[in-house]
Amino acid sequence: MPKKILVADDEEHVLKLISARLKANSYEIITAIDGKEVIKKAVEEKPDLIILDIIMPGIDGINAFENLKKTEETASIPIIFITAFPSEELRHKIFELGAAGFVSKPFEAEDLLAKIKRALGQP
Amino acid sequence: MEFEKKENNQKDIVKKLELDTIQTKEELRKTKDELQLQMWGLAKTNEAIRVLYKELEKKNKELEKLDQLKSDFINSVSHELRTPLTSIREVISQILDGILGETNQQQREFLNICLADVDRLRRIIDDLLDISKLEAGKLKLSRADADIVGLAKRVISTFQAEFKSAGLEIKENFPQEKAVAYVDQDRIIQVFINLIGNAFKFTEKGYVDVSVIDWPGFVECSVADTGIGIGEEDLPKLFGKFQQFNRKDPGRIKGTGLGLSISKNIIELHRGQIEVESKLDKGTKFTFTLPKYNPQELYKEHIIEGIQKASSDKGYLSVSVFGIKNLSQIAKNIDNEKLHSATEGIINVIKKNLRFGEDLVIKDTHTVMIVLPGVEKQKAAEISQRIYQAIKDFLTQRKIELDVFNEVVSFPQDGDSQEKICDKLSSISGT
Repeated sequence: MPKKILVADDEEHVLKLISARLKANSYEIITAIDGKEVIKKAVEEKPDLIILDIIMPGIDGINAFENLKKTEETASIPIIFITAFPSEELRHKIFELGAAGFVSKPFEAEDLLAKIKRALGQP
Repeated sequence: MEFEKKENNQKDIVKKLELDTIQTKEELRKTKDELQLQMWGLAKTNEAIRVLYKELEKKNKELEKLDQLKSDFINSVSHELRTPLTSIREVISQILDGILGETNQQQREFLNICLADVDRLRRIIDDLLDISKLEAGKLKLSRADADIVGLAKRVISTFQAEFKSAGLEIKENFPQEKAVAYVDQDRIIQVFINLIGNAFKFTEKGYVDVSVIDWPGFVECSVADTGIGIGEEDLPKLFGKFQQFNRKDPGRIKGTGLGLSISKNIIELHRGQIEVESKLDKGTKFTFTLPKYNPQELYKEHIIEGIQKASSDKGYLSVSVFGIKNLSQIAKNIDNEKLHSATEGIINVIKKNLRFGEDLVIKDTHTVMIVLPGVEKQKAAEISQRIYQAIKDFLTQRKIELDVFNEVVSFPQDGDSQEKICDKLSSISGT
């Protein structure tokens, strides 16, 4: 069974490209374009991992994260943040929140894949 | 006759006195007028000062606003630039990785050029962001004790392959022991990357020598190369922004022209110094120093800084102190090495249980202080309790028979000045 990853980003280009990259690495992909959709799909589809953009309209990534961690069905899903806005304050906040990882845009595919594997506990 | 003369004389005196009185009155009136005039002038000046002060305040606020706007602008520009770069980079790298089908060698060669330039653009954006933060004094160091030799080795290992393929040698001149200084690791790594990267860029044959010397009070690092060197007339401009000299080989990684300026800023933020010596066609040597701090200075500096900030924003600062109970008694019964490894273990437990970015300050070998800026006493006590439990668990797990104490001192609850807080802290001991 391939692992199921939910990718959330409000930039369609980025969403499409991350999905293609992960599919090429044998992951099953679901996508979401904002925070509301992430929460809905996380509850419905129970992915093994979520890749979450931070700056999104409406419910942003941090907000979505907090909601997912508060919800019983989704609390244990590891979440990797991805952002084009890597300020130090944000980085601290992410570590404080207890995310499974952090990737800054533009990302290197090897780095993203390595962090996904680690979060999923894959060798 | 005699009487008349006397009378006339007296009359003269009275007349003179009357005249004097009139004159004095006149003078007094004049002085009073003058005083009134001066008072009026002073009142006017006062009013003018008040107006000026108001204007200054307004201008100050405007400047602060502008400064904030500038930072916001740079932040959002960098965000807006990074997003399209993400797509461009990922498309190129997916083609190169063969996800989208076969490519021929020339296609791959050209795509690699694109990829290198996308990465260069990303570096420029990162550097611009860094320099704007540094110039605005907004770059905060997250410092801790770190082994500078270890940091240098880590950076060297990432350059090893590039040096090998260019036929260059990296020489290491390191002390046997660790050379520990109180630094922001990531920032010092950035400086080493900038300096070693520069040395690589400007050296065609020979070697690059990286050395670390552990002096009392500071650690001295240098990166020397046998490269093309810098002309004497260019040396003073070297640490300026967007300065690039003598770039010879266009095939190698290009810089941003900001690296040295950023490095200088980072070293100076650590209160160190950076210097350069160079001779055309002979080579260049950069030397920088990183001061060590003795634990006493360090914790005072932190606490004073924290309290200053807390009192200006009407905020809080808490210091949580951990130490070993009855240390003087215990020291007799346990050997030093065992005690040392136990303290190291306790420090590790504390580090693991801290939120990122908080500063761990070691007061002496057996007391650890955690400075918690912005945290009030109640919250600090909760955090401390969590850490205390983790330490207890660690000690039971390792079967170490030591008892640990914890005390929290908070500003302003336990003292409303730096002195009072520092006094309170220095009186804490585990006996």
